[in-house]
Amino acid sequence: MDWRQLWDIASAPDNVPIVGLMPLLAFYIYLGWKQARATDALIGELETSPAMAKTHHRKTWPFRPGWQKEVHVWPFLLRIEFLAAIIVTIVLMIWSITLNAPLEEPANPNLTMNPAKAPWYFLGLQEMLVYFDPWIAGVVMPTLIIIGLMVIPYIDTNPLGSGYYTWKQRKFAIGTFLFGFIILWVAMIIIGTFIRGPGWQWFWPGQTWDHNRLIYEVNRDLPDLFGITSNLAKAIFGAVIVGGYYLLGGFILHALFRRYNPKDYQRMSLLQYSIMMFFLLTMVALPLKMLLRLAWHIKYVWITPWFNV
Amino acid sequence: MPELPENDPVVSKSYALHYAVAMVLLIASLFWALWDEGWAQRPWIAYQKQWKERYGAFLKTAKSKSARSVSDLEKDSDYQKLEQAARQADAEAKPHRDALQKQIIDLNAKILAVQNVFTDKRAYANAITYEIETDPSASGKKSKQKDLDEYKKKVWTVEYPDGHKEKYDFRQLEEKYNELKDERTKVSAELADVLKPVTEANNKVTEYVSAHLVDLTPSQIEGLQKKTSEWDPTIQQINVAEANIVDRCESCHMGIREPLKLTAASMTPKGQKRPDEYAQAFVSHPEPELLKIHDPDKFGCSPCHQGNGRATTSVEKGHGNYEHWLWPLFPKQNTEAGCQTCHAADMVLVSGDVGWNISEGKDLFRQRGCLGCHRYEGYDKEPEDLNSVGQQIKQLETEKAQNSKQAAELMKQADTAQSNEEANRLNDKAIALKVSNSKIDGHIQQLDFQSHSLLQDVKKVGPNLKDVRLKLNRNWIPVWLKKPTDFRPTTKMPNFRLSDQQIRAISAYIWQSGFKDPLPKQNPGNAEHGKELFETRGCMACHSIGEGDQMQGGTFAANLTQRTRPYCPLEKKDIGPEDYAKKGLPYVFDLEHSQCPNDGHELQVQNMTVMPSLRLSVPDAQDIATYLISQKQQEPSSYPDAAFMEDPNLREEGKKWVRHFGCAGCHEISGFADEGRIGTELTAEGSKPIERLDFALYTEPAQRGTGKDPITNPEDLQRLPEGPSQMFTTRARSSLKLKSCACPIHI
Repeated sequence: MDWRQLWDIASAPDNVPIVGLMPLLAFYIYLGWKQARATDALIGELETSPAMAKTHHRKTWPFRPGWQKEVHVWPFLLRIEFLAAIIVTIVLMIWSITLNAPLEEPANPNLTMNPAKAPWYFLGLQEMLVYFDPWIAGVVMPTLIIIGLMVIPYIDTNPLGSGYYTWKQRKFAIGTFLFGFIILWVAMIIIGTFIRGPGWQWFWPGQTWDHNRLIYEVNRDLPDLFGITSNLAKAIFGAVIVGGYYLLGGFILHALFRRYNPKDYQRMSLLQYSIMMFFLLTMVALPLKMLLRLAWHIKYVWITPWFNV
Repeated sequence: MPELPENDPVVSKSYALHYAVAMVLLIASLFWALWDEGWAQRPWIAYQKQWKERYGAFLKTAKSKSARSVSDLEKDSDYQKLEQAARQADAEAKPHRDALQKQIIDLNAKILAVQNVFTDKRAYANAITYEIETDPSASGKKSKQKDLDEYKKKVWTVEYPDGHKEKYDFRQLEEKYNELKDERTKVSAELADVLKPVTEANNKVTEYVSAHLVDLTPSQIEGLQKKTSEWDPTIQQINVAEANIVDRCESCHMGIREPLKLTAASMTPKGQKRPDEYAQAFVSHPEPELLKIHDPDKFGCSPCHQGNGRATTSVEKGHGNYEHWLWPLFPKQNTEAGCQTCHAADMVLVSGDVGWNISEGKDLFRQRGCLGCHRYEGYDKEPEDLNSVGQQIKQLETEKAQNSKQAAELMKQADTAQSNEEANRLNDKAIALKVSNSKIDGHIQQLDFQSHSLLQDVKKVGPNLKDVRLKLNRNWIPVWLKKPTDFRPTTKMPNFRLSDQQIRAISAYIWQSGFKDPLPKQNPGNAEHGKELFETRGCMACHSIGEGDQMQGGTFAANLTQRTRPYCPLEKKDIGPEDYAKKGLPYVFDLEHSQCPNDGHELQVQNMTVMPSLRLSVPDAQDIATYLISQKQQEPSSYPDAAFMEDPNLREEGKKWVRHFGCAGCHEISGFADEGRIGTELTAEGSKPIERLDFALYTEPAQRGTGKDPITNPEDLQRLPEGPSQMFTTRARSSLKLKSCACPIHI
């Protein structure tokens, strides 16, 4: 266990924000979960007792006579926000006094650093480059991510859960989002920051980043495994695989969704439903590709002269 | 369900404590930021404050010392004569000077009085003149001109300082004003004339003082004191925009260009035993003559000393001693390395006390034969130049051959041409080709001249090994190879630590590849005369004689004879008598007969040694040779027999070893004419930061070192290629749990 290596990575000026963000992320997830639990408990109670529902307007603490139904923003919200602003200012002051900007030697175009890492907000995409080709990982997927996020309000037909934390009432939406955000995006960033070392090789935490390390890792393409050689055949084979994935995955998802989310299923139009299916399947494709690559060293499944998947 | 509080927590919870704590932290961090900004990031402020105190104290003592030397000086009779003359001149000039000065004061007052009125009126007139000139209409101009003329006829009053008043119109005002000013100029000139002898006499006095006073005069020191006491902390910066030099070194190193010589001891405050970092920073630049030639305002400091001139936040940053600055300050003992930036081509680089190190370094580099294995830009260019000349000759010869061939073809075509015109045309073409061939010939001749002189300048570090059979005892060669310094302690040849097998193979190859030409027979000479010549002709400048403490003469021994066979660099082979015989030429080769019989180009006819020709006659040479031979210490028969050197089976292996060890870098060896140097090029060696050197699997230990943070983890140690070795300190050793680790280390 090379503690010094861990310290080197964690204390590098570029990585300090990430090391700082990770506990914050954990804290806020915990906070949200706590709130959701309390709200879900209350919802459970309210659902069983109609009498309580008349007097309880507030979702977290029960309503009491004499208590206001709504409170003013000033001073009650603003005083908390102001306190938060002061704390942020203190953190910023102390950070800027103690940590200097990471200035390294004058830029030398003949000498690239190893590893050459993108800023942390792009590390997720850089890590995706391992599994997809640059067109897919750098252009198509980010675009789909952004469009997917924009599309959410239009395909979300669940009227419950607005304005309060809940898990029971929005299991699918929250679950999908957490999967995409924490398990895919954040995990990829963590991998890109702490795990990927020289040569973009995989180094477990505590392993020294040895620039001379050599590994034997031959990646093959799926068509090659099946012995397909001509370009046309590869293109057709890949199209079949990808199309088949969407079809098969679509059927499985359809069955699951209809079974566990019947209300949403009723409410959604065909357009909304197909859009949701498409984005969901594309999102799940990423961990599947990661598995193919990391476990079986399979790089591409669909080879065409214009793009690879 | 948790307990319900009585009061609504949203409205009744008090944040007063939170605010109190946050406020305290905020104010505290604010003050911290202010302190950091004002002092921690600006250590030069502290330096400059210390400078004020210490230099002020130094100047006080300097001033009293100077005052004492001045008063000593004043007792000098020459000085007193000059002083007397000055006072006399002053006394003589005094009455006239006073009168003139009073006149000037009066005039000034009068001029002021007139001026106050005149300038105002003139300004008004000028404004109207402008309007006249720029008025678009003629009538407008006329009317304005009329106004101006009327204005100028008006009369104004001027009150003089003595009280009386005068009336003037515009023209008269102007005249009076100019008149007064002219008069003042005249009087001032007169005053200057009167004062001339006085100023001259005073100058003589100050000249005398500065000529006789070693240091500064008290008044000069006072000036320095004033400057120091009025000093406000500020960054001192040298900015040379064209060269992108920004050097802020003088913000801490305040004493670099001070006219007085400052030492660390003199800058240490009383009571402190050893100079602290301030005292060390304030010393003067050594060798002020150097700064006169290299004005810091034009050169900056960092071109010679390196370091990060722009940095001001800490000493380490300013000196460039941190991870990412690739040009750290030269350590004190290597400061002269900075001279190399511009003076790379100078062989000697000395100014007063400075430059001896680097000059000696350059000498040693040249003399000790480093160039045999390591290239260095600017040294030993002749082999490369010869290469390029040879290539050019080859190219031109090919061109010539092509031209000839084409010309022959064209002429043949011309012979079978249809018409006369066509025949003429083809023949003309052929002639043009022949003409260009003769031009090429001229070019080749020039190149031959070049190579003739280059061949004379090529020098090898070690002796010519093609001649070993003619000069050396066969059995001695393996003895030499075993350890050269055993035989000759001053040799330049390093000990290659060869194994016995390697020695056998190399000796065999060298012996078998040497020339088998017969040695020219010489008559024996007079050893005594030879001794006399040896001691007087200059041999001992480079060669020594005697062993140990009896050794006399120079240590730069070189090899001495006429070359056995000339070498053709173009064909890459040695030319023997048979080549000359083929062309019917006598077997003569020297500087006047330096053409190769095979291709006509220049031969290497001399041995590539630095030994000059001492213009010895043959009998003298024989005498010296006889004397030297009589000096032998050991009988040749005492060397173990080395018959293996005739074994042809060892030849190939020997050749491989000769290539491996790079012998041809220093020696001329058969079959190794084009061998390159085996060592790395050293031209930019000093610029390589250690992080750029490849330590392969030793990178981690090399980075962490054996000092504060050695590698102790047994698994990590296992990764080292040769297993854990002597890579840790005693402290680490004791902390290693050897019993659990299976590493075969011997501590």
